[in-house]
Amino acid sequence: MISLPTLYGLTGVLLAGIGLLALVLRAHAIRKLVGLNIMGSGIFLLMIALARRAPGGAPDPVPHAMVLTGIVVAVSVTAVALLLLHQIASSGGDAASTETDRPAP
Amino acid sequence: MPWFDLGLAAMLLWFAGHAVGARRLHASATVYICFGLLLTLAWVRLDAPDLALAEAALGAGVTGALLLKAIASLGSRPVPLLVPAHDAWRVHEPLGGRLLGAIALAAVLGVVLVGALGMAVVSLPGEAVGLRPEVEARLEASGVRHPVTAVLLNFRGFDTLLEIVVIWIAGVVCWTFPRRRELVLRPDLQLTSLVRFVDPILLVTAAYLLWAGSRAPGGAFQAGVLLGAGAALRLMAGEVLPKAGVIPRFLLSLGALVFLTVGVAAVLTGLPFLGYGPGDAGTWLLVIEVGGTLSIGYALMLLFQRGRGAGA
Amino acid sequence: MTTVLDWASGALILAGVGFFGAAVVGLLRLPGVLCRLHALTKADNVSLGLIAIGLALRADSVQIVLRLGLIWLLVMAAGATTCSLIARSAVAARPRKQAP
Repeated sequence: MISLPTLYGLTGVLLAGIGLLALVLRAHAIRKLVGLNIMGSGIFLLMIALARRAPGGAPDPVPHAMVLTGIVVAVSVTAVALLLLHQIASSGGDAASTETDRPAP
Repeated sequence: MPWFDLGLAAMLLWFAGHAVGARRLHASATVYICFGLLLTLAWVRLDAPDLALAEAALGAGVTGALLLKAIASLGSRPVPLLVPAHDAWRVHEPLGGRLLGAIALAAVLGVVLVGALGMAVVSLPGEAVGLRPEVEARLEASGVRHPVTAVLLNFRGFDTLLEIVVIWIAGVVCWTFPRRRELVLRPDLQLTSLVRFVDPILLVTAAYLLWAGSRAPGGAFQAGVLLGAGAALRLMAGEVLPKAGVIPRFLLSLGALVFLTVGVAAVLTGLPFLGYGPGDAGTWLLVIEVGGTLSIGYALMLLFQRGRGAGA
Repeated sequence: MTTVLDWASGALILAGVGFFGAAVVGLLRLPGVLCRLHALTKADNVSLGLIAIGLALRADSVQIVLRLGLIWLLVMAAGATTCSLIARSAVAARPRKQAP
């Protein structure tokens, strides 16, 4: 018999692990971004799971506000990162590396 | 035994693993959208309806759409509206020569992170009061009746101010990029028809969420995301993009400006920064929320536009 | 009377889930983008409709019934448009002189 907070807390931790692995092991920048987002989602899940331990039904609202801020910031970061990625790609760089110099034709 | 939650947790892990491990970028983004929707269900199960609204709109919708758009435009040839699944990808991904070192590093980091956090989760007490009593004690004075909105805009208002500034920065960064030709899409009949049907509903729902945020799940961010999504839909349907004139700049900065003005005005009347007078808090919060909604919607539209508009 | 409603709503929801399952099987087993889209759009319309009606039978007020109807309508509109867009894109990207 496992409680909801523990279950979702452990799920969040594992998601953070998956995201971290993706961030380190995958070479393509967009996959790293997806991994970063999943890592963030995992940590958010952990925080909200822990917030639900409040007795009496209603959860603790402070982590909810923090995670809401976190979701919005994560989306902004992803959007700007994709902007920069597109800029790198359109000026001749390879999205799997940070080199922007084009090799001599 | 919470079977539904066990199944949901297993699916979350499965989809996350698939999202980062898929061979095609397109599959990665699509599975990430599904993951976001499952996470929305998880928020509902954890009694976090505000987060469910935000996650469905931002995490699944906006992030997914941005990813798909970026993947589509990484290829250099003109692409149809959506890149078909069997198209070849220009950017391939080498894992690099230092394969073993990378795997070892990842394994160590992963084990440390998961192990430490996992042990912490398991060893925490099953019940923790948290800050809910403090929030409930001051809820009357905060000006709203919904605890999360009270925390977001009143008790932790400074964090929200910084969050709105982050969104503003994202919008400004978008404007520093040069104009792209492919941004002006051909007007598409089907999307235009969809827009005509969906836009009024989005506007009304956004206004409702903004208003209802004071006593029920909702608020400025969820409403702003709906507005931004409607604007993004219009952009994809081929509508003309706005120029980077005075009014767009004003709209983008409105949220941050209003918030700062309210905060500074409080200082001028003797209260601390972002302090609200007794009884006034509700009105000020609504003003801040309206500004925030417009700014967030506009910033999201800019981020879909990815570059300066026509004529900038 | 309540038990009849419960049975009816349960049966409708199960039927809806069944249609979803059929759509997933179609997604996995049917060849080609167009056939898969055909299977998936059925899921949007029929199974979501069955589930919505099943839930509406359990609803407490007319407001919830109307909301469920609106949700179904919006999902159908979005699903139909997306399906059509994907299909158009798949057809456009198809190499020439190939049987559909």
